[in-house]
Amino acid sequence: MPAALTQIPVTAKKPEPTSRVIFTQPGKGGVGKTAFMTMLVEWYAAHKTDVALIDMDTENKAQGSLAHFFPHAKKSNIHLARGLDQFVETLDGGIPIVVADMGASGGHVAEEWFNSMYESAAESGIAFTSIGIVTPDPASVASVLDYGSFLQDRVDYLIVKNSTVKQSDFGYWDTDPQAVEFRGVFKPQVISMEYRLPDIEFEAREHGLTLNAVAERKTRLPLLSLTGSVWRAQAYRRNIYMELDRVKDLLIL
Amino acid sequence: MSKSGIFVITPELQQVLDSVPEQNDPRSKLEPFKPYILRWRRQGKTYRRILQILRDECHVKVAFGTLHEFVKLRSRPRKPQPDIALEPAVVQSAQSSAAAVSPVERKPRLTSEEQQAARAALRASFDKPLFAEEKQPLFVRRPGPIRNLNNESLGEKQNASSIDANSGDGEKARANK
Repeated sequence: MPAALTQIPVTAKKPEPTSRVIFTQPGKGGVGKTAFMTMLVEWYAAHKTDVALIDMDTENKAQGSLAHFFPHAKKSNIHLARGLDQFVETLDGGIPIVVADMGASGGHVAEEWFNSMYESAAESGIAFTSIGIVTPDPASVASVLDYGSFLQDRVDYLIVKNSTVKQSDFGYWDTDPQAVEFRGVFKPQVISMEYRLPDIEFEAREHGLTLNAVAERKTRLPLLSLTGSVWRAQAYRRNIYMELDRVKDLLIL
Repeated sequence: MSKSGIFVITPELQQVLDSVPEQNDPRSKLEPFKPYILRWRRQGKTYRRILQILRDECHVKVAFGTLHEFVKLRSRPRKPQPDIALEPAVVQSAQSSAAAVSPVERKPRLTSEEQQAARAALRASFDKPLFAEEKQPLFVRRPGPIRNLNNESLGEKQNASSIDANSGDGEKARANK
């Protein structure tokens, strides 16, 4: 992270939000950003809350991106000059919550956008929730810390501990001195995303099926139609919904 | 005047007084130019330059002393006077040296007190920053690897145990010898 990015102005006072943009932090790929976001979108739907979706994952153009699961998601290229303006322009549509899934790349674009636009957005009553996904891989922790370094207290932080293996060890996140400092300074909310059987997750992702679709038997795919798969999907859904309910203040107004 | 000191206006005297013509004319021929002359002085024009303008543009010839006295008597009080709009005719008459004489193009010279007050007001308007001051970042990511202290402490324990084991072996070996 360039040192200059730490010299950004930091707003001392945040007004009461009238709208909220929830976005995944770009950076380390394959940590489960889109997997989490699909569950988040379905959590909103379970609460009968409309949200606007923006898919900025340009790497996963066909499959695996948010638009693959939710065709109504607006595709936007983060690398275009006005790509991230979609954050705020989508709010003009009248839906006060925007969920944006960022790709692994585009971190520097997001940094520039925040440095230029944040003040005006904050004055307009837009709050931001930055979702960082950490896994047992230390690179995911480094990515979250990098973003904390430039986002500072301009956002609310939601950290998702994604168990990518059966016995996930989050020792890097739990014990790294800088991670401890990050938690002490920004007091992020931390939730857990339990380990999901890869065959269920991979099969669902390949066909653009969400956890909800599997849990509600909306597919005839053999593997995903098995009762074991359905019940597991229901359990995954129940657990993540409970976690999200716990941190709902960061996800609503 | 009567013997008792009371001034009595007789009809004859009243007639005389009434016959005195009204003094409508300005006391000085510079009077019509008073606003301009005083303004020029505030702008810093010299008496010679004003005399020249009056002579060339207004066809008024007066002595240096006349102008000096005129200004001296009429430039009181020294409080800032409201700007007086120029009459177009005068501006037109001074067209040839408009840049030099047009009072509307220059602001009047301020007194030192006024200048100080203006400077203070200007500085005051910059005292409050337009935007919130930058504050030190709350968190700065330092370069270097992410550490898992659990692993490190595990390694330390293993090292310690191996050292203990080695030292024990050494003692045993020494004892055997």
